[in-house]
Amino acid sequence: MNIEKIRDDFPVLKRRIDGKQIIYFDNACSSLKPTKVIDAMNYYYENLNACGGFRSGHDLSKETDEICEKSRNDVKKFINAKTEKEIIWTRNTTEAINLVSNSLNFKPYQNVICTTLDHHSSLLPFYMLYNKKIIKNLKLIKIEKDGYFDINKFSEFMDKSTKIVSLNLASNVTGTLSPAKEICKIAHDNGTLVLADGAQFIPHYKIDVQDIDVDFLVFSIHKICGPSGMGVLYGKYHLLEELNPFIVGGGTIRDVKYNNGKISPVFLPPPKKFEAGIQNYAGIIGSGAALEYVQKIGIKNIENYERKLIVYLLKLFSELDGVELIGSNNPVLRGSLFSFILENRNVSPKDVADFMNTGPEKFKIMIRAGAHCTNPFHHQIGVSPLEGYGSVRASLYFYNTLEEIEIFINHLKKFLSIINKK
Amino acid sequence: MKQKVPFSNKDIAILNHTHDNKIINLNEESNIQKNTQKIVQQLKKTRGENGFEVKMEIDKYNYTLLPEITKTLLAEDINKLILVFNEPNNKNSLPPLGKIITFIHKSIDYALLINKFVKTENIPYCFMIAYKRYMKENNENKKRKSKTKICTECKYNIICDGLWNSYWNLYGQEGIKPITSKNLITDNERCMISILLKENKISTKNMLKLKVSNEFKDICANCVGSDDVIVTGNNLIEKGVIKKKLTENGFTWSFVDNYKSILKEKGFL
Repeated sequence: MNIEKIRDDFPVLKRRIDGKQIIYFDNACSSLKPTKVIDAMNYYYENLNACGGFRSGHDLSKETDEICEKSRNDVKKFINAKTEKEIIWTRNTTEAINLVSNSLNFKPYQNVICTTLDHHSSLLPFYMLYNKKIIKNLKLIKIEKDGYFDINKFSEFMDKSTKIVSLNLASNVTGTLSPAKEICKIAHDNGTLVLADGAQFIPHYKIDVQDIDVDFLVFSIHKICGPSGMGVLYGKYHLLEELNPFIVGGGTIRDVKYNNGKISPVFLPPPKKFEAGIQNYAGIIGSGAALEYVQKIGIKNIENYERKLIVYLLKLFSELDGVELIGSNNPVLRGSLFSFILENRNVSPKDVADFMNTGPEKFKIMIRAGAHCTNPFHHQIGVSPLEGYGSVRASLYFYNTLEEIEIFINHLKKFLSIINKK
Repeated sequence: MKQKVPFSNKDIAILNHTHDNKIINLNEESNIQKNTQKIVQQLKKTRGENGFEVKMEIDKYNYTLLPEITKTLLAEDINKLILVFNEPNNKNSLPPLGKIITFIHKSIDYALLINKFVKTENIPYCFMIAYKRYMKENNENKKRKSKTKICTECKYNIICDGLWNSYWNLYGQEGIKPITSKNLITDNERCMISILLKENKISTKNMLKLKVSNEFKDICANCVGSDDVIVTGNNLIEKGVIKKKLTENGFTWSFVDNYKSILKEKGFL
């Protein structure tokens, strides 16, 4: 991997703000976009502009459809789905999870399993089912501060009434990687479905949905160098066929019959029955370009390079006083994002992020601090967001460098030396 | 004071402090207060537990007493108070908005302190920079309002109805300052300033705790996450209102020395 050449693909990295160089460590929130993706999206706005979804037959519409369906096929290849019909475009991971939670046919005696480490987007759609008494229980597996994933707890929590397990493939706080294949096996033996949240996993690791045998997989394209406002729901085709459409309207039906003063819609098969209304065609085209770009670098190359980064970061971090790592210090068990809490509880983690953004003379180091949409976990580990507390997160991607990590750690040292002055 | 339209509809009472000295002498503060209270108590008796809203017309006799009248009215537990800036007929009926607005802001500030609800009607954005949330437009009045040339510089030009035609004729552009990002104080900035007015030199952590406390929950409603607070603080630093210093307690936020004059200039104090 030629990092210098790769960095050259990202226009934002050339930008200077107040004359300062950008060090972007907020990739778990959203990744930067290469020129190739920007160009692909511009192509739609400069050359196409038309409706897709096979609504119109003219040339602009036809070309829009062709490129969009190619993008769908790119996703299919990226995750090794059986067919492109298993790929549904959504706005983001959140919408994809809501689509599943609102479309599955739950029975009132059934339950759903989540963990305390889950993102609000994974947790709340199922909480709403519980709150509306659509399911009997939302079971929460407690994950400790070290982020350790105890597969036995999943087995213990599962019973014959468990309809679905919501599984986070990589945590957005601890970086914990889940043993997805094993969980799917246990769940399926129990007659339970598995929905995998791949938002923090897919950008960094190879996934094969057929190999792990997951029932649903959701992720966002904007974390994989693609456009914002684009997400994906993968579902096994027979399950998608059984799901009721969540958002309905134009583009989802074969016909809406009218007889004796009544209408009866006939929905199209997946994926069309889930993609109501005019879609984000520029975003879909940009999504295909993003996956192509990442594939060209090689997802295994990305994984290996990022492992070097996180190993180096963990090593430098271990030499610091006054900070506590959240999640495992074993780089094999974690992804390339990294969170910690301050031992000085008089100081808000927001101050670290603010210091990194405004303090350094030559750099703007962009990280994130707070509860990262995982409030239950932060309450559980005693750093309540309501008390002005939380954790600090630096999340890496393949365009980051060892030198950037050194700069970050040096500035963190400076910050800690002031707040820990005795 | 007279009860001009006691029950204009089911829930609204309109109070007007008339300039007709023959009816009631309003030149004494005590009379206005006393009579306001008296009428509201009468209305309460009539309306019973249903409560009612009060629309209060601002005029040259009552504008300096608005904060006091607001206190009196809100103490009577009315549902909602709306301060109405009606069409001025001549310079004797109503002073220019620049003279009145401080008293309106003070009234709103008081209401907020006790978690009550006050809105204004017919006052344009340029006088309500930090109080946009408390504005109410009345569509029926649109036809009798207009804007002036400098309004095109204002970022609220598209949504603002402007001022009464008669107002422009009487006072011209006096006191009208278009809102640009330079002089704007946003709702979040207003929230942070309010917290600093209570506790100058405050750490980020304590600021974040205070913003979700009962005392500030109403004015902090716009914050999605606590990053808003940091962004807001840094914006206020850029505007020269506050400063921050890294200490053992993290960043400590405080006003600059001449903050009062800066806030006054921006329409906050």
